[in-house]
Amino acid sequence: MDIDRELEAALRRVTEPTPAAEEAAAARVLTRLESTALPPQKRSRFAAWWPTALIDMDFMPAWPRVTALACGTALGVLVGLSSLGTRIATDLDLWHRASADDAGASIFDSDPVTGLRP
Amino acid sequence: MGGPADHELMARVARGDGEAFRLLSRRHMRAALSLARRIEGNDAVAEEIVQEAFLRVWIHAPRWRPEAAFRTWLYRIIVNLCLNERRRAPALPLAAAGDPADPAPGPDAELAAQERDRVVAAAIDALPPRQRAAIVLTYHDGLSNAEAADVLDTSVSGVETLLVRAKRTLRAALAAYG
Repeated sequence: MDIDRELEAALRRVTEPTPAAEEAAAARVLTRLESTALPPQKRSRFAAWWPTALIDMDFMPAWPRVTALACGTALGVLVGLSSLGTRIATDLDLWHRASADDAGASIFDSDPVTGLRP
Repeated sequence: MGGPADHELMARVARGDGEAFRLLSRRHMRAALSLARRIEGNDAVAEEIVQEAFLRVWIHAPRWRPEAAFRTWLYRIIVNLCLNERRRAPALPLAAAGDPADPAPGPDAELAAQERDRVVAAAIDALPPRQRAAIVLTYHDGLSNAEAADVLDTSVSGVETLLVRAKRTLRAALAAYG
């Protein structure tokens, strides 16, 4: 335990900033940087322009949400293609094939006296 | 920190605004140099690396996206340049980067602490480059493991592994010193 504490303390001392030396070095680098002409920037016109334009117009999509939507859509398509809904409907007896009887029953009421359909 | 935020300056730099670049470089120069000196261990090389890093910031600014903090991006460039440099040439001892301050109470304790610091500095210097970078980012820059992971382009558990391995080596060095 002692050695852990010693190590932590030594690490903090050894990695402590040395402001005076760093100030002078920073001044040197800044002077060099500012005294030389800056090189041309790398930009491809369209690729550089459109994301910036989208950000500027607040149109940049939130990629996690777009991904979630795409995954949801893909899942929906897969479920549709696998006929899972049909199988569930059949298992739960929710599935009825249309027939002529059904059509008659839904369009015409049976005669209240005879019970016959027109 | 006064003035425009980093991402605002970077948006101007991306449009080729030299004044914004000067503001940005003045704002981050000291921290950048400090990081490079700790990882590289050689003042002159560290200065070249930081100059190169800022030039890369200027050149690639149009491709920068404000998805991560500018500082993280800058640190990643610096760490990568330092690691590349260290692959090419062996580093000087960390002690060469500057004398660490030591607030020990008495002269004996001060001497002992200085000796321990020297041992730890030498052991840090002997660490593999990525372990050394993880130690510097965590202890010198005070970055969280998540931030250090971003800079080192690894996962948080990757940084933790680097730190555990580094500390194991340093602990052994300190134990051997007594």
